Amino acid sequence: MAKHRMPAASDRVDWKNRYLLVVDSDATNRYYLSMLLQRLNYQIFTAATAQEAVEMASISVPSLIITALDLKDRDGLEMAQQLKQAPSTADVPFIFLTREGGQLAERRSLEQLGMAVSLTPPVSPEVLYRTVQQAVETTPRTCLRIQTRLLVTVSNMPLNFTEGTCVSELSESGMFLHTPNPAVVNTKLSLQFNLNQSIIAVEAKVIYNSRISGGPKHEPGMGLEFVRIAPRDRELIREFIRNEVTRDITPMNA
Amino acid sequence: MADQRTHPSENSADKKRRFLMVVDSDARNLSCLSTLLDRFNYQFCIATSAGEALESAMVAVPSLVITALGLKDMHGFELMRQLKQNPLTSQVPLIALNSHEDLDVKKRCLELGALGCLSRPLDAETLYRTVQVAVEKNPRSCMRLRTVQPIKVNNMPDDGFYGAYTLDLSERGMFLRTVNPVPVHTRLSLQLNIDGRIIELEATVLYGCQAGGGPYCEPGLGLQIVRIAPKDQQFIRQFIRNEVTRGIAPGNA
Repeated sequence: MAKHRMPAASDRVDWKNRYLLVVDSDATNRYYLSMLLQRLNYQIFTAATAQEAVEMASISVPSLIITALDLKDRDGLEMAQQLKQAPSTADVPFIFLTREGGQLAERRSLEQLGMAVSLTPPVSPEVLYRTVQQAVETTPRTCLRIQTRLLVTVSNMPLNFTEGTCVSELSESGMFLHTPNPAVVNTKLSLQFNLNQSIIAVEAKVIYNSRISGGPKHEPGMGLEFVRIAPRDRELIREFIRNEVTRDITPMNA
Repeated sequence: MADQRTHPSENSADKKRRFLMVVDSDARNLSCLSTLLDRFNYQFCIATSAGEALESAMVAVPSLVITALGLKDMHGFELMRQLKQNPLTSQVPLIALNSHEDLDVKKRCLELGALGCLSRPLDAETLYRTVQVAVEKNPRSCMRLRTVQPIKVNNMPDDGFYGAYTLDLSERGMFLRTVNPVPVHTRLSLQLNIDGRIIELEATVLYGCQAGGGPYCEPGLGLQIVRIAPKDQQFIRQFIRNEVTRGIAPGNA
């Protein structure tokens, strides 16, 4: 099991307490993956060679290593085997970036490594996010989630309840809604918000709520899950999120 | 009069589009430096050699390059010279990092077009200030920490500020998360609670932001502290410093 440091009670600020290591000898790939994953709220270090990666991993153990197979100094697979043998990095999961139509033998060796997944570039942000979440999070998310601030109106609650309510995190399946008055768990809310000049109307259910306790993740509010959303609205949210996370870094114009 | 200052949240979409580059052949230094930049809320990419830095800068031009001088494949002077000579990167601000204080080295860095030369052990606040000057239109001089701390407004009706809290805090001011629109220049008497310590202070409103002003606009008030006991200010300063450098060995950054 990868070691995940739990925030101590004295931690008043939620610094990202894990980082991912991206290893690729291609500068364009490194840039794309590193920017994309930073936007998805991960701390990222990059290495251009296997040697740099091994050095970095020995100084500070990453929560995950995402590596290309054709590194300029060594094979990515060999590097992974070396790190698997070192006690400090033996439990670090790997995601391998394989070429299209990668050989069967290659696949087999990857499977033998355990805790290893392979992806074939170009990797969509959704697939990358889901794979990374599965590798490092105890409750992995399946949909891209971004931080944003959208004003929301709640139509089935009194006005003073909804005043100043805004989204702080958004995905196509739910959101975190900022409010000093979080509703109790399981409350059903009818919400409306504006996204790129379109009005999105959803019904959502409160799945948890939080009050101020210090630290940036502890803003008061409630986590909501969408229980009714039109397919078109879901598509609009997905499109909005994809555009936000890949703006200016898409592999084509990178 | 309209306030000229832009709240950071308003341009955070733009902010996300830029990134800094850190160049250092020492993995430990690289790790400490980039952790600080991450905590200052910047995106960054790293390079462990001058060659890697030059190659990466051709993929996407960074907003700032911070480079150590002792690189494994080339001297930092030479990297800076090459960046300045290339039309693509000639306008990118440069900051050099030296292993120790050396006036001749500093002078040479300035001649090469660097904004400055910092020496190790690196002070987090000095780094913050130097980066702010290099990349921000309205550079801040004090470290600002994103932290949620409950706050009470003493001289205003309670319901207006119900549930208010800080989002960003520095020893000189804060961003107060509230939907209560209060005019610029209003003087507020505040009570802040940090780690169980009650801090009384007075602050004036510098700017206000309304929700709905775009997908990243945070509703709230930018405040400047106008009265605070020196020991309380010192406490906030220390609190921020401790949080920013937490887990980073002193002198390592």
